[in-house]
Amino acid sequence: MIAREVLNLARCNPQSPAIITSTERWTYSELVESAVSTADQLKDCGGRQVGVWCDRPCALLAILIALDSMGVDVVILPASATVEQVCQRSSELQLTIVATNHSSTHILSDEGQHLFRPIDFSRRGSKRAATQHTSSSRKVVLFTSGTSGQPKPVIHTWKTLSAGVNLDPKYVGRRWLLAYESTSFAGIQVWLQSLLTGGCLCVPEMRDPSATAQLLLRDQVEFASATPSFWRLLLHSVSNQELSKAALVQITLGGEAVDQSLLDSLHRAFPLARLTHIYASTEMGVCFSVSDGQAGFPATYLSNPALPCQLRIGAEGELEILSRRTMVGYFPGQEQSSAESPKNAFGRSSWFATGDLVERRNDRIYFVGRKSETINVGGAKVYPADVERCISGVPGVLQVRVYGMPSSLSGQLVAAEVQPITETDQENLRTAILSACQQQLARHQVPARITFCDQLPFNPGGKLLRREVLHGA
Amino acid sequence: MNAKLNPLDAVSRAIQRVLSNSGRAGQVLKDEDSLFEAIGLDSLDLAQIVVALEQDLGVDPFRKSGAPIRTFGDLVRAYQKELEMLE
Repeated sequence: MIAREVLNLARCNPQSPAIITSTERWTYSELVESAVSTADQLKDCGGRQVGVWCDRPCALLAILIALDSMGVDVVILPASATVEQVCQRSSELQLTIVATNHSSTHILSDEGQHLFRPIDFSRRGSKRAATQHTSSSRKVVLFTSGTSGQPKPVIHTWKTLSAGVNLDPKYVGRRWLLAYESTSFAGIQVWLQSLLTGGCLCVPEMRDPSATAQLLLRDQVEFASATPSFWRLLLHSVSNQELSKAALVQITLGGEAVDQSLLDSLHRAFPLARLTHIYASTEMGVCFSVSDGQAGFPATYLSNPALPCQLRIGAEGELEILSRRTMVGYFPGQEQSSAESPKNAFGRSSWFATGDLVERRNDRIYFVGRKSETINVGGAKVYPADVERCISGVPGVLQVRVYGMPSSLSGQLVAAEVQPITETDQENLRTAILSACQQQLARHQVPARITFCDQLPFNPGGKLLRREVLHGA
Repeated sequence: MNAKLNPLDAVSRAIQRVLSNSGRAGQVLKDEDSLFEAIGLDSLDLAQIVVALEQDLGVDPFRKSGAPIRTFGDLVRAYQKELEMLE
């Protein structure tokens, strides 16, 4: 499916740029020629399931297009995985071949040769090569982000993955930012959208906010999608005056709940750009989006037949979703361990408990936190998002993460880890945070401990890591 | 953690900090004052005091069962005992 589309685009616009990175620039024609050469190098793999492990987006796309044209099932391994992790995953998923752009000594060793197949991208094939086997029902396995647990392999097809791609003419031939890991669900959404509409994918050298801000300006990116945490950092890495030179027409936020103060700051920095936040997951696909500049979503979504999914609020305020764009299923033997959502016996006609807790205020539904992150202070529930919203409004706070720390007397207490804006006096900031919390929150929601750090940890997709410190306090 | 910190001072200071957060500062703490009735703490206050003291003194006497802790003096002695066991 993707092979056929890209081949068509290469025929119509061979010289249009498909991907620009700091070191590479591939046109549609070059992408297809590389894919044809890759298919030739992998021609003995027909009928098998092939793993793909690439840290270069150009290489990843060429290999995936090649494998699609050959009609084989693929397993997209995380770009950030180590050799050891790839070997382990390959054995769990019974992969016998992993196509890669890496050529380290381990991969070329006697042992590595059995599994890895380094692709030579200096070779180019004829773009007239046919794609006989292309089918939209081939399996595409990818991994969940693992923000709150081990990454799990889930089965999609190119059809379910591209269900959220918008082919409206206003999206055709535009410039897109890839700020997510190219192998994650969110990253795949971005490059599929760009690739299937003849767009140009702009890839920053590192997914750090200041390099990305520079790239937004240099490549005049028009469509940019990233996590709220990433946007917050980006706004602080470049002045609003610099940012006003950006060509952004659309800013998308996904992967984490969005707070109103961030939406307002983005609107001030990019007054002409449309702001959209998206609710999606690796398992359920893109479920819905909100573009009115307000946090949360309208309560009318609970009964809106035009959405690609149905929504309802289940027990304890957990958002439940029945999606038509859902994955095919978890990989056999790698199903959800019971901890997070035990009732998700997965099927296309069953409701999926998302683990996201919501609260209705008037005609709006707001996200209040993850079920698994709810803090229990002596029997009283605290949602980290409520406390984080209060703390992030304090001047001098750049990012904050709130979690439960163990308490010998009350089970848990609230703790906050704060990344201040540089050159902020920490003791004054601590006092300001405490006083804001004491004024705005109930007593049991006020952090018993506030620590400061230089940089809160992110996963490769730009989401704040939520789990690490839970027991480390 | 500061092992040289005097438990009496550390406990007094932690209690005063919690009291002042809720506008109850300035009480004189006496050995026989009960934590809940006389001083006016509740279980959440005490949980917060214990967490703060764990950071200051490096110990938490509530992690294991010991003599009942009812008064300000009991609390100070519980910390003294924990710290002596470290030495």
